[in-house]
Amino acid sequence: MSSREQSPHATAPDRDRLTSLLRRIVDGDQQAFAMLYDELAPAVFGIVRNVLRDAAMSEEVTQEVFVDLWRQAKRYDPSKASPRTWACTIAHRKAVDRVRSEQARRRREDRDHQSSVMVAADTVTEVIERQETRGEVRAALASLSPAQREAVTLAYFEGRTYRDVATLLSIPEGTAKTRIRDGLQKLRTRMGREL
Amino acid sequence: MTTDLHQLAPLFAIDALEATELTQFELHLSTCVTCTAEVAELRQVVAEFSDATASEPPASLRATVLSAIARTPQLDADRKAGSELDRASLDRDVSHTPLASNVIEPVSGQVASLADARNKRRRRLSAPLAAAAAVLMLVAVFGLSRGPGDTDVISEVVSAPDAIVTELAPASAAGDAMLEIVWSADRDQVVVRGSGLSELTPEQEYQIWFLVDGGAIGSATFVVENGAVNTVLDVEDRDTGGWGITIEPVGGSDVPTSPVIFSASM
Ligand SMILES: [Zn+2]
Repeated sequence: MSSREQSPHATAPDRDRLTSLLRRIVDGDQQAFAMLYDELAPAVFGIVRNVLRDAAMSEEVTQEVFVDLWRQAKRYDPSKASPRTWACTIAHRKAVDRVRSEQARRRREDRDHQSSVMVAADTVTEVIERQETRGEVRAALASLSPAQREAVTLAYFEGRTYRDVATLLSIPEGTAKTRIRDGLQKLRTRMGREL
Repeated sequence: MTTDLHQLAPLFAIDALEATELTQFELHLSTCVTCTAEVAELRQVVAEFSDATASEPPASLRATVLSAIARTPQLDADRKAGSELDRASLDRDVSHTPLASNVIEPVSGQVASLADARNKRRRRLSAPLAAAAAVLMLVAVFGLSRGPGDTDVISEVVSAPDAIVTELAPASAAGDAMLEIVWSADRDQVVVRGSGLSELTPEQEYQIWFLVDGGAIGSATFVVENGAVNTVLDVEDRDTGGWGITIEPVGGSDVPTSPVIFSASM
């Protein structure tokens, strides 16, 4: 990944480039799909790995995500989301589906409680401190109250339900919902002008 | 607990809702433009972070993925039904979402009003006991699908001047199940036709939902034989913005208790 000041992702050229790749992919162009993979794989893998942690499982799910992008390409609707948002949404959902079905199989142990809260804090600190992180993203995350940041991190980056968030932080469910909601609204306001 | 359904939009956008609330919200989403816009916007916001959390996958994965897609057919673009529904929710892997056999807590004021609407319907059916209504409904379904006059009724509904044919989209993209609803508002009847549907346990039925502004209103139930259905059902006299199908306990539910397996907006 580059250390460009300006992320290419939020820009119109990024969207246009990916959209034109998708147009070729719709015709079954596998070479275009390879290019799409190169563009999106780090983003997708990053999202999936944050949620799943496990490397092997993350690879599996990343593969599922890309096969899905291929299968669904003709159904992609540019009026609903940019190609990048579309891919990230599918990546997050598939990772979350996987982690929850794993959870259903073996309920999380209690000690997981402590470690995940700590990891949550790490994830965001890491993002904020990472060199590549755009000033804007960093500022948006930093604008959250510590409580909101924690809740948003657990819910989004780690793919927890609000109920899990409440349990992990020992707060009422309503409070967890409010923190996540308020945190996301704040991020939206902070980053909104770019959208 | 009185939460406005609209307030669940941010939680839905980041996949943070509980499985039991998911269905209810997805049905709401299919008719709520405000939430649809909010979900789209928030997904774009969080996608902005993908840059900061990006991580290079192992190089070997590229070849694996490319050979996998080379073997994978693409789905057709033309899926008129359900096009208004949130695409991501449609593609949710239903098999991973446990069927909520437990009681759903009402998540909103609207849920209460949905229950009211359903109760009203039950009164209109002049079968005050839900169980009695369920049995009657079951009899109706079997009666209709076996009776010799049935095909006549089906063709009457299908050829009604006001009949609207809606092809429903399956929630699980993998399945080759199909389902369509032909609705005659004048007759207060629908014809449900489908194939490739899962067989249910004796305790379950498929239930039709009216998708309206603010949620879903439960309607008639039906069963399948060898995965197929072709039958006439009486439905309420009301408008709808679309259809949803879930699997419910016999007699149907007041609020959906399992994921939406088919849906379409009109
Ligand atoms: Zn809404």
